[in-house]
Amino acid sequence: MKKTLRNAIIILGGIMVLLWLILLAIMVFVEEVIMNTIRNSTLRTIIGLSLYFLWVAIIYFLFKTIVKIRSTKEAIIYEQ
Amino acid sequence: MNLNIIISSIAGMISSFTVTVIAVPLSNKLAYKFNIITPDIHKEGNPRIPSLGGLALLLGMLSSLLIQYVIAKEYGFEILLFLGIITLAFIIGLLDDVKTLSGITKTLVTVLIITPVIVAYMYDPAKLNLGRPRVPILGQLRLTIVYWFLLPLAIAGPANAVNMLEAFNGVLPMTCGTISGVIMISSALLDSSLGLIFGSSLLGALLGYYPYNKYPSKVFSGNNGSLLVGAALGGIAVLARLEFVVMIALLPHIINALCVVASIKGFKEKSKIKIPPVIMTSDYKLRANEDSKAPVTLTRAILLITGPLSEKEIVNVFFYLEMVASFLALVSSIMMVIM
Repeated sequence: MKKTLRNAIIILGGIMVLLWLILLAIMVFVEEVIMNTIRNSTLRTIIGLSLYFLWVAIIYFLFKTIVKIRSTKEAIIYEQ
Repeated sequence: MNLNIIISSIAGMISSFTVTVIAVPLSNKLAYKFNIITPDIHKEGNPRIPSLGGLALLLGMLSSLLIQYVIAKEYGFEILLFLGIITLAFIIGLLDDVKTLSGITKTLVTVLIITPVIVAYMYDPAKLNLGRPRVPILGQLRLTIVYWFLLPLAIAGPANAVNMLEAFNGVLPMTCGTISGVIMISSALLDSSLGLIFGSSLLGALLGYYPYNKYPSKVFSGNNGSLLVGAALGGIAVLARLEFVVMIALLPHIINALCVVASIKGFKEKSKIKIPPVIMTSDYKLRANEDSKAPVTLTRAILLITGPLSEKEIVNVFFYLEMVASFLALVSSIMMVIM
């Protein structure tokens, strides 16, 4: 397998593992901390859903950053 | 696990495999007759490929589910419900192939695929076991009212996510076949008979479909095939209560869909996207578009890391990424059993 292909699988696979761990951490935090410490049901729902939405936002901004950094590099290579 | 369910799954898988293998050439003939044909833009000369692969997959799964309906009678109600879900998804996909729907219309229509589940639950709540998704570490999530608000997305989400990544030869059977395998193993671990019944039906059909769809494709799945397979995965997640496992196994599809929707700011039909994320080189390799305004997609991210790749090489990267996601889904199931 080409070295560049291996790099892509390691980088993107690593990001997926990271996202999985973050999701597990958010779930545990929401269920063990938020659900047990906040008494107001509506507030619990808002905070819980906001944290899950944060996970979605992390996915987008992580990939947006990768694409931004790598496309700047690619553009420099093509200009040279 | 009941021996009857194991026999039912094996018979169902053999049936869906055999029927799909036989049905693909027939669906191709129909596609030519009704002009459901798409040019393969990643090949020299843009050969025209029949795009009615979903019909063969539907027939394969139909045969499998009918056999399992007879063998595993106690799950007859859920099997019919699942059949309703995949048929609805196929019809919507076919409608989109014949008369291109706008991005937002397609998304809204796919939300309706959940209707049979909601109607069945309202008719007889005791028949269906819904709510409180099973997750690792915690056991179950305390989702009650919110679950019902998220439920319409449970099938529309995977259906559209699978549809969005279905751009290269062999990607659909390769990635979704792996997910079906993970569903079957997880079902065995978590003692979910429904997961085994539905998973075997989908895996058999995708295994039979793969030789025709792999590079160079003799058949395309079209929207009819990709929406059907995505809806099947969503249906399995809801009915077999494997929400977390399926979501993690679908991570490459979910990442791609989220990035596309966020970067183009909404749901748009492919032809409406002005700046392409990927450009074809003169030697038929794919290169990432360096334009900062181009949409963020998983394919573009891969190509920015690797440089220009052939279609075959990209499909290989997707396969390895799906293997990582499937491994995480399996670890999640094992964690659910242990903790």
